[in-house]
Amino acid sequence: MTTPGRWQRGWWMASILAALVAGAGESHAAQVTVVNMIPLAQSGETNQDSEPNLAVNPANPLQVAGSAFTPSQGFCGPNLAPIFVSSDGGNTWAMNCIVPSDGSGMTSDITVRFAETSGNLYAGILRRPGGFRLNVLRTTNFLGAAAMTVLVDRQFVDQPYVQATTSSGADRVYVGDNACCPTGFGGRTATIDQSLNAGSAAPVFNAIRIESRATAGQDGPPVRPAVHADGTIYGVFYHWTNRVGNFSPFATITSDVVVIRDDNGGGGATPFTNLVDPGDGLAGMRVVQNRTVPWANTSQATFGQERFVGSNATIAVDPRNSSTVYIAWADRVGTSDYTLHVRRSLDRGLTWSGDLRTITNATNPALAISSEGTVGFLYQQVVRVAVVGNSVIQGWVTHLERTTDAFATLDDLILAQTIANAPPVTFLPYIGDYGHLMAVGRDFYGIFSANNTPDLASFPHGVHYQRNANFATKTLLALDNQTPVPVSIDPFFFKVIAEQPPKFQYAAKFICGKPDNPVLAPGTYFTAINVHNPGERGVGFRKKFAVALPGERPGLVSRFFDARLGPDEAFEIDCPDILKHTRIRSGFLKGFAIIESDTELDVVAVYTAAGASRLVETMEITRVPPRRRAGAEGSDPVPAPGLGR
Amino acid sequence: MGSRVGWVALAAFVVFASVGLVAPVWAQPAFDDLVRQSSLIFQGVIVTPGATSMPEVPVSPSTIVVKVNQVFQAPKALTGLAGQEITVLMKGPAGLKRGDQAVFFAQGWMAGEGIAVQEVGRLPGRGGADLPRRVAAARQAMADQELGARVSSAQLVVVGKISGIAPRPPSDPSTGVSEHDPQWQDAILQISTVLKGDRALKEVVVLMPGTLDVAWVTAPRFTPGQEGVWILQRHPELPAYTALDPLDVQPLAQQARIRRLLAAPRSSP
Repeated sequence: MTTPGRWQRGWWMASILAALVAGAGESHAAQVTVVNMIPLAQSGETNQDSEPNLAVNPANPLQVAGSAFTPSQGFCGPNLAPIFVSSDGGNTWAMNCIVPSDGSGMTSDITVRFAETSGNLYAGILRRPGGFRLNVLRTTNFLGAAAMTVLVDRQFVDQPYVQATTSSGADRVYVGDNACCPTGFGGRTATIDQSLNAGSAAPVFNAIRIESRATAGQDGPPVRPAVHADGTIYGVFYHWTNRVGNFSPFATITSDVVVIRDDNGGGGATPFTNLVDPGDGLAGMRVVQNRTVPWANTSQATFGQERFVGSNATIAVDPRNSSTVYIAWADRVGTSDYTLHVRRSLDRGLTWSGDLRTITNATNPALAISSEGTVGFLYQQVVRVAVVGNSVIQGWVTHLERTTDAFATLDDLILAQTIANAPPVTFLPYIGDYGHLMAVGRDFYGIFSANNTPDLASFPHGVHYQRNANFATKTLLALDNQTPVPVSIDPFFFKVIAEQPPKFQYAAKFICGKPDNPVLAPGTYFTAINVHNPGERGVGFRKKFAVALPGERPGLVSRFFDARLGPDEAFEIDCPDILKHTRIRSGFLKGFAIIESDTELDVVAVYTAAGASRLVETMEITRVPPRRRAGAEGSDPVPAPGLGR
Repeated sequence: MGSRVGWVALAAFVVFASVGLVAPVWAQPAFDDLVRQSSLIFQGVIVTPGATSMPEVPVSPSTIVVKVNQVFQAPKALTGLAGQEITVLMKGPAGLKRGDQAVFFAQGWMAGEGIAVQEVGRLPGRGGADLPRRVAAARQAMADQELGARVSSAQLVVVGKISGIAPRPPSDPSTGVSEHDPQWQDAILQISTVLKGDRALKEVVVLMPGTLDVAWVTAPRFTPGQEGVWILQRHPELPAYTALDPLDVQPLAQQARIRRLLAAPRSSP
């Protein structure tokens, strides 16, 4: 029998291999925090806390709110459900009982968002009992004890997804939802419920139908808005054009993916009609058409126990330039896959790139763009981990990809890699029909749900559990810190804080091997770069390699590799190391080893060359001076080093 | 009702004043209502007035830290609460000092590294020797009232057995599709006794959600051969009944209790 430990190791190797194949490296230039959000006082809980959502207060990023299908378990007062709250930037969490509910103490769909500057927290929920009762909620104090105020209460709405901002002192709230079930409005069900003064005592919300075309009865469940500070509002939705099957539970849908835009914050006479498709002259640009979207509202054995309900669309606008907008959606490319696609427009949605990124067998895409223009792409991919007897062990791998060049290159942070076969599904969605990612300044904040087994191997960037857990035995523990608790699905908060560029950079020339053309004298060249930490504390730094090719051609630039030296420790980077990191099997290699550190190091390069006798004929020892990085505190540029002679 | 509350408050004030204990100065609900509104009932001693035990809870004159001595009612997830220090957001002016003891009726507010609760009501000291019995009696009355409300609103209450379950033909797609659709299944309920409703009925169809969707996660699910007392609501559009509240399907052993509730005059909650 295969033990979890054994297949976990196999899992690790598979994940690392996948990252290498994708050409992705894990970024050093960020501080990654992952936190299991279940608080200590709820250590005994075994709920399926799926479909999470997150809100960070842009005016005070220490204030964070989260939501999931988390019941009160008898803790909250009558007819109240909890959200998660943090007042320290997401490092610790509590459950706060402020969401109107029913005796079940939970909600159906729920999303949360802070306005830009007011500190007001808004929520869009499907209130129980029943499946389609929309409530839009507000609180002026998300840490307070008062129940959220109900601003909207109406029926026949699905998947409310809230976005909010503040403009000229007024909160503007946009809730993307689907006015289905039963359908109305001639099947044009994609809707944005908006208020341009949601912070007022009795705000008015208007339901704006954003579908301009005839549908096959309705639009798809997800309608996602995105807000820019200049008043540009985008939205993305699935425009259903055909349906085959009875939906109970299986169907195949043909769909276009449509982007709409409003240039005046939704405040004009005909909101969300500023983007017109030249193909038919109607509002809403059809980014792609005639895509196949599977509908299978049952737990899928080959998809990590999750379902397919075409609920996966996301949109993000560049805070530096509202003309730049990214979308991602899911559809079926082959016969059994579920594939995510990412595309970009640079002209306010009028023209679109091809697929910048495709991810097979993945769900819960979420996009966000930082103040620096870095695009973040969160998703959860199901992978085959191992075969044990007749059973296929699957895993959910949660990725955050970050790119500054439209996915030509990217940093792939694997936030979690957890078992998908356990626990058994309690209800659907298993992990969620959505997760969430948002940018606050240069940093990314997000949330996902996953198996909560306390196993550090599942969290490559580490994890903090508040609930009692024994990582040595991989066991959850009840409040008494003794009684074992079965694994379940928990929400995990994460933040990726962009770090300042390291203060010191060293560029050391390397020459390795035998030249096969006459660029250097015949012989064998060796380089050994010695690095010493002169400090009294350990230091982490990073290194990469830039290959120089003859004929004024640039060569490969490797990703960064992390390194660490204790006080007064030293190590050597030699030619075999360089060849390994560059994965170049050439017999001769030249270029630069680049070392970056926040602490000054001693870097000395030793060059030797052997002639026909194979004995050393030349030796050169060179101290590599540091270059202070622009932007680093106290920047004091030093000329780029040559060989330091 | 208001006069009843007033008399209780007055009586409590007289009692508390006579024994020198700190009583709430606001009008408290009746004891049963206190229990009904509370998710936690515990006896404790005030450790620090004007303080909190959780970083998320701001300190105010209305917050106190209480050490829990005895728990009379708490959700299962909070097993082990005795001995812990928790934050209480008091309902009215403080009037409590370090070392005072009281029984707190409270609703959960925040659960983090610690617990914070909102006070609903309070009894001084230890609440009396018969407090556990009174809480249990109030909880039983509350449970009877909740079940009675389901029985009262039902169109049909029967004793019966599920003879089979079959998927219902797909709904008309033109009515709209959502991941929250119930995907009804028809459960055939063979009736042995009608407790309420049409006594001629021998068999009815009870709709059961066939979906695993979260919107229906608390709805009872049936199995062929399952016997019990069924508290049924007529579906507004389909020729069938539903039993969607967790209280709507009761074991046979509850038949006598349900008969008693059916016979009892209804009182407002």
